[in-house]
Amino acid sequence: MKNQNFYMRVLCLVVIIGAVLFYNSRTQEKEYQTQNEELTKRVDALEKQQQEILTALQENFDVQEKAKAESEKQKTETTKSEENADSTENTDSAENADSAENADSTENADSTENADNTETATSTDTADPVYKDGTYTGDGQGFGGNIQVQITIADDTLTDIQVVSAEKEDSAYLSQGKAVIDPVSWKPRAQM
Amino acid sequence: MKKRIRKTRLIRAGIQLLFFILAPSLFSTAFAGVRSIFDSISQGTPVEWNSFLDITGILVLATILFGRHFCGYACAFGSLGDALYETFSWFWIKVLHRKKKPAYPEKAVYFMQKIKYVILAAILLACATGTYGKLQGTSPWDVFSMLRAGRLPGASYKVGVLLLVLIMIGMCTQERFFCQFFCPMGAVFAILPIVPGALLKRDRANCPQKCGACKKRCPAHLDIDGDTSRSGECICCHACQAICPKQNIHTGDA
Repeated sequence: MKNQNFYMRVLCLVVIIGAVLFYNSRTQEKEYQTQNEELTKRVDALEKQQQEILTALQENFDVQEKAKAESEKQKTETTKSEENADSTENTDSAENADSAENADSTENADSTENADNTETATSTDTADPVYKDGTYTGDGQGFGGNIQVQITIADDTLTDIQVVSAEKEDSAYLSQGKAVIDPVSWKPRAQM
Repeated sequence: MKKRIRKTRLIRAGIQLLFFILAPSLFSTAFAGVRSIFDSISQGTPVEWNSFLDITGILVLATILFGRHFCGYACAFGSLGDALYETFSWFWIKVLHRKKKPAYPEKAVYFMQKIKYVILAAILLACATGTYGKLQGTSPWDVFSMLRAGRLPGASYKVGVLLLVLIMIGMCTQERFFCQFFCPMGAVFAILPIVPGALLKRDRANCPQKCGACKKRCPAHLDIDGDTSRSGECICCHACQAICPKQNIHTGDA
């Protein structure tokens, strides 16, 4: 057969590429599986937490309601004893109580929210800025020569890293290095 | 005929010098791409396209379509070998008054051409098992690119320096010593399917009997015959084309 070596080599190349693609799909599947497991775990944990919070709120609410009802009873009893109260008045007071309760509960919710807000606000306010805002440049020794890097700091956090000059570096290697300073990859780590 | 040989040699030397100055790290970058595939296997992560594989991809594609012209004309390490070999040959003939340029016998060349596959397999195995990182300082290519960048390799590069010196001595004794015997990237290129039309062929019917000038001139001792089991060894230096007394060697399907 003419060019049989060529066809054999094409076959080999296709097999190699196929093997890499097969490997990729397998590892990706595994990665998805582990991600899935992690996510389901997290969702379960969150659901548990939510359930706990809900039950706690419910209990709190029940306790409050009981207390209110008791105080209402006492009030109505006192009003009954002092005046001949009408049934309409009773319902009125009950309505009033309801609205008051409602107001209370909303207020409660508000106050907790407020507390949260103030907490976070104070935490950012009270922490002294460690880093001064501005842009800074620094030099380092690379494989081929000098590399100049510029960083930007705003609101006490690193917001940008730029390689200003790396004339003697090989572009393929340099872009591998640049991938490390990609904000997407370093921001989460910096926050931890 | 001498003029023609001289002309092709000068053109090639010029292109080699240009690539040596402008893009001296292509060979190691391309091989870093091959290694990166096996590195991801060692980490159990999917193989992702990266900037090394850009270079590998371009060179592999160019090789498949046009033959190993990268090896013959653009590779800085191959050019280093050519420079050393030509310098030493000049010294060998003019100063030591030998008749022929230094070269290994055919059988030895055929045998040693297989060593590069072992080296390729060993390096890729080291990558896939994650032991490659421990071999830091043993690569003669690292030492070469350091020297080229004007840096002296540190004490941790002892093995690499020793290997580079040995390779450079070997480069003097045989044309394209490293490329055909040890180069792992050359091994990759040698097993690639090269489009038959891009391979050098000769019109055997027109050949004078017992000529064989092309095979004698060929640094890889190839039978110039288009698609053969060893045609991957051709680094497209076109020396056979220049030396053929009947201009019998051409590319294409003619």
